[in-house]
Amino acid sequence: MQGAATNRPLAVLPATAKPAYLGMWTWLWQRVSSLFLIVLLPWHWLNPFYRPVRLAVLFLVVFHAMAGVRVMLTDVGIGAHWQRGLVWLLAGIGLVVFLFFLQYA
Amino acid sequence: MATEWIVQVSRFDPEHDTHARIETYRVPQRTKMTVLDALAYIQRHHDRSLAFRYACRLGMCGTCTVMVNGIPRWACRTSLALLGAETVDIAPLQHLPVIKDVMVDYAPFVEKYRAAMPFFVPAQDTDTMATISPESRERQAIDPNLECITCGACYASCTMLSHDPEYLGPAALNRAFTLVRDSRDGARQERLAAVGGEHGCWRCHSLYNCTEVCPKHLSPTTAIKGLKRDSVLDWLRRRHRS
Repeated sequence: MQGAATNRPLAVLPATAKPAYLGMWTWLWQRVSSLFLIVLLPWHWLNPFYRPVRLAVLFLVVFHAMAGVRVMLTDVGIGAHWQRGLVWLLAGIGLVVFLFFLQYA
Repeated sequence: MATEWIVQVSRFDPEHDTHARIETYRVPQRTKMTVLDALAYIQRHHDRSLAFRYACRLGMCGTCTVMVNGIPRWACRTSLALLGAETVDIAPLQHLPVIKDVMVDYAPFVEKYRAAMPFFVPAQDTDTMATISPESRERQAIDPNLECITCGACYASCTMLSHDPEYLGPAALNRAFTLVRDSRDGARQERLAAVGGEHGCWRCHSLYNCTEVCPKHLSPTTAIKGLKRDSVLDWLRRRHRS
């Protein structure tokens, strides 16, 4: 039977062929980054001239902050309807910030 | 080019099994074949005891929602070809007890929906039709969240339900939001109290899983954020008055 309903395009849910649950992974890695920071920040304060730790702290702080900015923006309604794009936009901004401060690390 | 799909279905019979097992079936590829068609083919040609649920078969009821390759989807509206994989995993919805195979018991979902007071309580005892303009801020906030058919896709996708099984979940909170923002509703305070607290809107951590999977393209996360804002504003107003 070929009715009008069967000729309509089938729905493709948004997650098809995209990394699913982008917001969940952002949230999860933000939590993980905080655990690393709990260890690395005191290490950095005790030995501020050890470059690998300085770099790790810079990367983790920028990542953690950007993930927090994402939640704050969507809390006030900014980017709530394009949250996947917001994740990538903030990732880009975070990368620029990281690269900028890399010269001081 | 492959001429058949390999469909892996989670099988569980509470009378005989202690754990779910995965059974693999081969289903011939046909034009516009959906996940529901594949399940029906398996039941008809491989194993008549396969249990799955459906009703309308055209994306109106949400009854056939199952996990497809780890994502909750309507089986009747999910094209096997458009999934882009030759192997398809079909499993029951997460966070809900399995009755048999991919059929789940929606009772916990419905109980939580009820707990969020999903019914309209008139603020005024009147027969006069209320006029709310489509352009009004109130309608603009409510309209995008009205089309929920309680299929449970958001509930199955929510990571917070793994962490807190008592969490009300996106669908119940989404419904509560549409009523909290309705100026004709007379149970705003009771509703906000029902959906507040650690098992209510404050459990949401803005993961947007529910928004990503909603077949109706609603954003329960946005509704939950609205509930959070309303809860805080109401609390501030009460403190200001006292």
